[in-house]
Amino acid sequence: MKKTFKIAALSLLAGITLASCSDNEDPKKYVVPVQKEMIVLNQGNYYGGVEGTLDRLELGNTANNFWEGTLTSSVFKAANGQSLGDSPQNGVMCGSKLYVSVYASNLVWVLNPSTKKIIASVSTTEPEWVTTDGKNIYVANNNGFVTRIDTATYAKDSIKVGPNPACLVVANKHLYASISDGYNSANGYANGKKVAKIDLQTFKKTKDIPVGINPGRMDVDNAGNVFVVCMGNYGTIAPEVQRISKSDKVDKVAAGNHIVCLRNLLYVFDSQTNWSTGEVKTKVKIFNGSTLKEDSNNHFEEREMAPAPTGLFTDLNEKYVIVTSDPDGKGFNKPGFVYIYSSEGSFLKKLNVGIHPYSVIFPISYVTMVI
Amino acid sequence: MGNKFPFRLRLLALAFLPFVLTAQSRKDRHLSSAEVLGVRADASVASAAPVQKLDTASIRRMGVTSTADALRRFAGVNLRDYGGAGGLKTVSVRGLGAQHTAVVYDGVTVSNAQQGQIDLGRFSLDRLAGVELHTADEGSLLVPVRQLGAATVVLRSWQPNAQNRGMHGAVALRHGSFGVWNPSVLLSQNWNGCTGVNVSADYYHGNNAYPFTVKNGVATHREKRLNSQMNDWTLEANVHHLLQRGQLSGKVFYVTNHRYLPGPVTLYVSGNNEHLTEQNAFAQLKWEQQYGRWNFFGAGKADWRESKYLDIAGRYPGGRLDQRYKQNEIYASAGASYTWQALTAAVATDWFRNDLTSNLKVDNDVWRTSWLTSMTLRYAPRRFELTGRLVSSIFRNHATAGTEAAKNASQLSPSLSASWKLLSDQRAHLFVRAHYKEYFRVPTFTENYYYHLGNTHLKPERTQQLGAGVTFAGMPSARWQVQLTADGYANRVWDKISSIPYNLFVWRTVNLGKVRAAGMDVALQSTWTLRNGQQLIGNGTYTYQRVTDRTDKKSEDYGKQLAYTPLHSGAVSMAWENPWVNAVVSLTAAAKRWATNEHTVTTSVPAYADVNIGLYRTFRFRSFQLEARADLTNLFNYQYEVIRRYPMPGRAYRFSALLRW
Repeated sequence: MKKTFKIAALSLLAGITLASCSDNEDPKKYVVPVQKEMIVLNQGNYYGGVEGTLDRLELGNTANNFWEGTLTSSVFKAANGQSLGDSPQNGVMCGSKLYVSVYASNLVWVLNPSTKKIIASVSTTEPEWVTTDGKNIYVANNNGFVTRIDTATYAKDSIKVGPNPACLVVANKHLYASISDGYNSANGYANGKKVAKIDLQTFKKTKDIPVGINPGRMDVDNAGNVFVVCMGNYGTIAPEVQRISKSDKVDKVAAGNHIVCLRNLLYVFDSQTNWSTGEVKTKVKIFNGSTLKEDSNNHFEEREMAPAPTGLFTDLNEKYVIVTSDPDGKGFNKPGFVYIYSSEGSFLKKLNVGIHPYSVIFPISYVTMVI
Repeated sequence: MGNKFPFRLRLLALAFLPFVLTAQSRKDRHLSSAEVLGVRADASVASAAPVQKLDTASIRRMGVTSTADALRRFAGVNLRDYGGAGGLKTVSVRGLGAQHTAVVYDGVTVSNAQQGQIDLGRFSLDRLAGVELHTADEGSLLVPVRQLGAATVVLRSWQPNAQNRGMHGAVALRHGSFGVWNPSVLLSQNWNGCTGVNVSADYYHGNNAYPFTVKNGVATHREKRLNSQMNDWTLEANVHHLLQRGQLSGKVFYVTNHRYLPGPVTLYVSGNNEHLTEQNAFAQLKWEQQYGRWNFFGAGKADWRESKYLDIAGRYPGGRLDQRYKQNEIYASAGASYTWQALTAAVATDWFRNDLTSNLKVDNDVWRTSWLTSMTLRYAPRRFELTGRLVSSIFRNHATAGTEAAKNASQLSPSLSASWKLLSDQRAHLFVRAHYKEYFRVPTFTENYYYHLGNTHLKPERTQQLGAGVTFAGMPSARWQVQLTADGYANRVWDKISSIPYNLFVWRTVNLGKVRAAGMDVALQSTWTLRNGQQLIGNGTYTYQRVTDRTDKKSEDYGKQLAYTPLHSGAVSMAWENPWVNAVVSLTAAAKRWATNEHTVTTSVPAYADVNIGLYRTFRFRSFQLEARADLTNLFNYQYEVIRRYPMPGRAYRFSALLRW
């Protein structure tokens, strides 16, 4: 979605620049994409019967007050008078609608991004992740399929991609789906260890790219490199981040279990849980996505680190590193946090959110500017 | 009342009612109630450790409809009920956790080394002659050591009466809401006045698709608990042989149960494809003998258990998850006691071997040998009783090559209990008692070995119990009998075995956790004898349990009430027995609970109260006896959950009929 936002913003910037070159013309009105809010998806605790929720943080319009807005809990329930569902995963905006995948409830909500009111719901099997290429919505279904949803009619078609796809990204005119085979752990995730590459034009799988064991979350840098976290086997094989280049060459990057890309930089969080105490220690490394050289401008400090990260994200302008986190590594039963850092790692803000925050969304809002 | 047979009047026999039956005599009713009160007084008044008992008469008079329902009428019990006939039902006592509750069936412990807790829903109330709860310590000196859990549920089936000659039998049918049909038959034969045998068969079928409400704001709607069907066959044979100053009893038992698992209620989704098939067969033998001042016992058991879990869903390789487990247990126990004046010494020892195999690459081919020994000394002059006990436990874990065996363990567990008879005459008894006990549980095979959950380095989870109580039993007037027990306690659990999630599918199990429990159990029973053979029998229990997390002072959970543990709970019942149709009304209730240790609006589980009413009557004709009963459970159709997302059934009827001869 941040790519969609970038395209919209660049087009607009070009338009404004050209307009400003013209002399003696009256001020003109422009519709500008901005980010006015951050939505936090809290998964809740399915085993404890705690439903998922959406929290909303109003964003400021200057760098100084950007994270100082009002935080409102459970905005979906407040807007619709009913629950979001069980185990929401992530959300994405396409056109004027917001799409939220809800794993255990077998659906994708279509929401009005401003009011959070339900426009429609699209049933789909165990949606693990949802993304967009700006035209359609793509859903990774845990039963081995990727579903394409038409954003106007909500018509669906699916292709088989491999067992337990975990995450989707769009890059290089393709859709990438990480195939975890996560329910086959007893057999060493034998049918996973790959990222399926799907042609967006034909919606057909073109190839499987072999990667490490149990691939999960992915992100893309501005050079089109796709990064994937291979989660290992939660035992003898540790989590590792790998890069898939535009030519589908795979390189190992570093140990780590959470990633996010900000422009040309890759941020890798390596969180280790002490199972005797439930405490989590996290180390952060920053890499140049193209050269894979470690960036020394890294100010992340352990004392200000999120206590038990569950995901890494960035805003639409790719200026901040946003970490969703549980309060500790002992369970999913307490309200979590969102930690916000500058791109260099300076701690900026800690937000108290719902139980087990899992991802964030920045809906694109459009404002009219007069220049 | 002296009922010999386990089965209630069933529906088919009702057809004979108008023709053959006469009302039970007034004398019979009067005798039965007096006998019941006497049993209650014997059991719980004199014990140095709290004992609560329900026999068939009590079960009938309290409107109890299932084994789980019987247990939740006891003080100090916290029942976890996943709803419906097929839903898992376990009990924890005084905040110690369900895996600390030992379950004893006819003198021998029932075990499940894989899961560590026994599903009490699998024991049909109709097969039981009595249910007991022994809290804190075992009152009897000479018992198998494994029976000495932190708390013990004792289930007694109907035993053949070796002195009642000839062939006897019973046929029964029970029918209830949600497609429940439950026929059963029992035959009993006795020889020589000293040997009795009975065999019984019991079949249960239920659709269990009861309606419930999904509360979801404007999307609130009614649904049915689909995928809940259950079929169950139970076959059982008992032999009882009287020896000179001793007895020999044996049992062969087989149950096969297939049920669909409806799973938790998931928002916007209905339907589930989980199945569970379980089989259990065991044979056990127990011998008890007295020689002068000596008492001896010996017991043995061979137990085989198989479970097949099947989940059909596209997320699994091949579209299905098929897990098959087999467990075996060989168990032997022996003990002796010697009494000299006011002093009794007892020693008992248990040896058992549990193994587990499965169709999985992991969690397979593991076994454990256990050796437990108890030494007990009791000093009991006329009004005072002091009992000290020391239990030694040694556990050795083994695994086939390639699998790391779990850590071995050994424990010494002391306990001390005392009771003092302050008052004892024909009209009143007053006892005070106190106890201290340390005990533990070893990790289950699942906690040790299950893939992505188990930890072979776990230590036993330990408990410490301290309590005191008082019991009064008396007859304030010739027509009024009353018994009151009240106990307070303070318990601790440490090295608590807890599972920590890495994500939804990967967990680690560790000894991480401390729990402190403080509470009070109160039980009151009262019988008023009215004119014309009428009686009012009231029962009430109240439980206060403050069970809090004490793991980490820095944690927000510190000091908070544990999940699914109500601060207040209780039950009351009132039965009116009369020459016409007996009636009972009962209520069980629990205060607000939380689904997790986090106390918020989203984790709160509302309080509930469940009201049942029942009508029953026994008729006699020549050598036949017919018992008929009709119940309405959850009279006000209150929608509630004991475990969040597992709704309990609403209003339901139940008819039962038992014809015996």
